[in-house]
Amino acid sequence: MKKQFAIKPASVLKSLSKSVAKSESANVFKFVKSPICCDSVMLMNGQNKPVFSL
Amino acid sequence: MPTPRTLYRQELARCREHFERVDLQRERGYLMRFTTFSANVENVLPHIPRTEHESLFRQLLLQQIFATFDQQCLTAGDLVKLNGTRTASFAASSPAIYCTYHLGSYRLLTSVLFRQGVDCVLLVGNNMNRSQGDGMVEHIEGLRQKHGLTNSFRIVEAGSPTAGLTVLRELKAGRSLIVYVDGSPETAPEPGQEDQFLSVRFGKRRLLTRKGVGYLSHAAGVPIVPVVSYRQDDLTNVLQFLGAIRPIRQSDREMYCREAMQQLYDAFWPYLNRYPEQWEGWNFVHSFLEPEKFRPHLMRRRMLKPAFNADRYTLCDLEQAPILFDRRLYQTYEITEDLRDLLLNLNSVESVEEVVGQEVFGELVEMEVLY
Repeated sequence: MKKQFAIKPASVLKSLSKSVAKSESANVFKFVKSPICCDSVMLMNGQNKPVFSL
Repeated sequence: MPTPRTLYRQELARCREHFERVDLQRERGYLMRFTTFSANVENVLPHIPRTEHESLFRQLLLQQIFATFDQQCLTAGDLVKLNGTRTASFAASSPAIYCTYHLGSYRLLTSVLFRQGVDCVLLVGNNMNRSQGDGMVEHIEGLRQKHGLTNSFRIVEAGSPTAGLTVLRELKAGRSLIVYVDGSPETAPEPGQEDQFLSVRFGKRRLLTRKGVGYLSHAAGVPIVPVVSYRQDDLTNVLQFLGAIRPIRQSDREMYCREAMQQLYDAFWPYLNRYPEQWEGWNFVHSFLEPEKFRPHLMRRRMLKPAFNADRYTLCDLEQAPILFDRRLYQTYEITEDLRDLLLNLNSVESVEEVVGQEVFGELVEMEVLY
């Protein structure tokens, strides 16, 4: 089969990377499948987290 | 009985321990995030070798975990070291616009000011307000209950059409404003918004920054206080209060905005160089950077043995599709698998031009993918 060589700007990917940056600042750890980290803190965002004192 | 500081350090050590067990490379989206981070570090702090970027990125993620912990832990605010001139009695001070940056445990400033009795208005990007604003409100409510505080706290969304007027009114009513002056992804410039931004020096580059802070300071006659948050090696959080920038009445507002915004970035620069692994802005600063000035192409020559320009481009797979990422212009290109394989093995062919054809070869040279 003949080899294919092509290059084109990925506008979809550009916006994807922009949206990745957007979601990242809000939720950096979304992609870190964290276990229950410290006893008192969950690293997964999007959950209501109780505050506490040491 | 361990002291709160000892307990705090123990908790952070456990956070670190858990984080170190995570294999980041296997996490979805890691490569794209890391590539953007790495390009940003290289474009702003070129003296940091690329070989150190991955370690910096890991450290940044860990710092963000620590910062999340600090937001939930009311004690964290009590353990902060306060440096600078404006720290004696916040509540007795007149209102100020506290300008801070996404460095270190950056939410602690709000916690500390509120704890000191300051009436606070926190200006946030809309996205942050949705996903993190609630956490901040809970933190403040926790402080209120724990210490019986009665001072006010309010969050204002920067994107709201009435944000400017609301904040101006709050400043005139004697409340202090807290602003992340290094922006956030959702506050980046969009076409048609040019008049809301101005250009400032940022190392050897220039970036666009919103000028609203300077405008508010001038209009309300309230000083700007730059505050840098960073974490020392011993895990102690430091809030460094820097010299206030004071508006001069009757002065030119536009000129004051320019001067104030530049001073804010100048104040930040040494801390960024010292603690690059603590700045969350690496994830979005490309949205604010101005394009580099045009650099003339290298003299064109017939390349018998072209090489891949790894300084400027990174090859990676995104969702298993080959991608070419321009680290200078932040442009992403889709390429065929055959082209990816060729770029990885340029030495295996006699003539690249013959293999890819004249048109694609010309394009690759023009784009400086080959040099």
